Amino acid sequence: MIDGLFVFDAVAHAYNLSDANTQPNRYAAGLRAALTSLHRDWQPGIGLGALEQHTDWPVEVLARTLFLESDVDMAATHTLRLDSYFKDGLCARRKTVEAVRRWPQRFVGYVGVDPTLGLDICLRELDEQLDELPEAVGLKLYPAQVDPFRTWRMDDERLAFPLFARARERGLKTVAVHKASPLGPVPLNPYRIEDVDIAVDAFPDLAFEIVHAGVAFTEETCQALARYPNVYANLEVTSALASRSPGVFEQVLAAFMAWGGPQKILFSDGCMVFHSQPILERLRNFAFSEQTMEHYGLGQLTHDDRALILGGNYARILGLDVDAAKARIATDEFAQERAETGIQPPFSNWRAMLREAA
Amino acid sequence: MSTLVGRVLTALGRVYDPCSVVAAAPVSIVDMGLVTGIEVDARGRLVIELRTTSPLCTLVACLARATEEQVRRVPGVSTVEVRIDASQLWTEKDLSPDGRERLQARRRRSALEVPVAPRQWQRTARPPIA
Repeated sequence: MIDGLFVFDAVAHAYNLSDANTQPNRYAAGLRAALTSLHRDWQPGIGLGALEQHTDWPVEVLARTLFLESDVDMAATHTLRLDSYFKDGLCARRKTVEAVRRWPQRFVGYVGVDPTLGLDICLRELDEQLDELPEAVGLKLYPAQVDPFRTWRMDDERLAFPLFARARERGLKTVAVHKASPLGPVPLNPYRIEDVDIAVDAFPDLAFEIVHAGVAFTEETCQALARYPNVYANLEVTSALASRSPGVFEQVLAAFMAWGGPQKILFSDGCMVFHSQPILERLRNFAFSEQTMEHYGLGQLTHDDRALILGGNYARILGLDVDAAKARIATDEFAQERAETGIQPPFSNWRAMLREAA
Repeated sequence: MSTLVGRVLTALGRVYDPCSVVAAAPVSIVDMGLVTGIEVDARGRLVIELRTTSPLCTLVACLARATEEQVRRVPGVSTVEVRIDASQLWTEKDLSPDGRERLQARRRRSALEVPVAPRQWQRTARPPIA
């Protein structure tokens, strides 16, 4: 918790960026280089080098990084299906299962399918993953694959709609779709926002998270946030702009606040690409400038707004009782260790793991 | 030399920011404020520095290639090197008046086409997902 506020990181990952896991195409190499650079350059001085990053990141390190080195209380972790970039999709299904099974008080999990494989395969894989992990809360999707380039649309009534219907039928609460940040030199259209509209209107009882909201197409995202009760701006990577490009972050957050309101914004950071604590510290001290408030007709960000953004909204989507969640983590293994050590230095657990493995 | 720089600037005016093109409001990289440096020596060796609107821009290779293609054709230019300048962050203040007006006109047009009120969802019968 930070300033007494419950913090739910809506996206945290244990990637596998090893050479062996990277597909032999230039898009995969480019994406790995981009992720590596984000880690190194956006939070300079605390990150790991490229060779250390180009490994298979253990789930235990992710858990220790989140819950011993930052004020994050709970986190969502996604099974990723970037199969055309990484052989295990970048974050393997087994890692989601491990996180949720070992620390159910700390993690919730998303299943993942690749709609470019067709509906039959998607439904089969969705069922298989949910049979294995019935406590999963969400579905993670990517809009395109490469080598060869292929894509699909959220408003495809023959492909996407039956998939969303099955997700809803199986009890999932939310669908998170990667948008706004094209994964390499690929066509931009699949990363635009517009195809979300018809889908979210057709499935009003599912939440839809626009992941990386504000990295691009901010205005289109605002239009969706304003119109539909079940569209949310997921700030993965966007939140890191708070320190990397504070002016850009202020404009994006102000736009989301003005058009969607504080109820439509979800904190996340994509840990361990980024470390959560410097971002949380930025958000704790963040305030709109007078000029920005005047420009958007906004009031200052309040304690209640922060409470919603940092965890309240996501808890509401999941139907999570925050007081009960706080009680579950109050004395768990992370709480006990942290009570002894205090907050641990950024990425110290990852470095320790690499030293032991060497 | 100023004439050559002028011709280079004219050529750069034919390179369009790809996101503005997709948004149906094409703005050149000059009007977007993406050109941060132009250096040319007496032998016509040209170095152009570009920045992107976002540190996450993955279309930077397309921008660099289009820039090189346009300025290579300028009489007097012997070689072209395009460098990406990561040191300078772009903000909307870097737009030229013409570029700003073009984007604002597009926004006004969009608002007319799809009138949406801030926090319109609050007026619907449905609350946010609960």
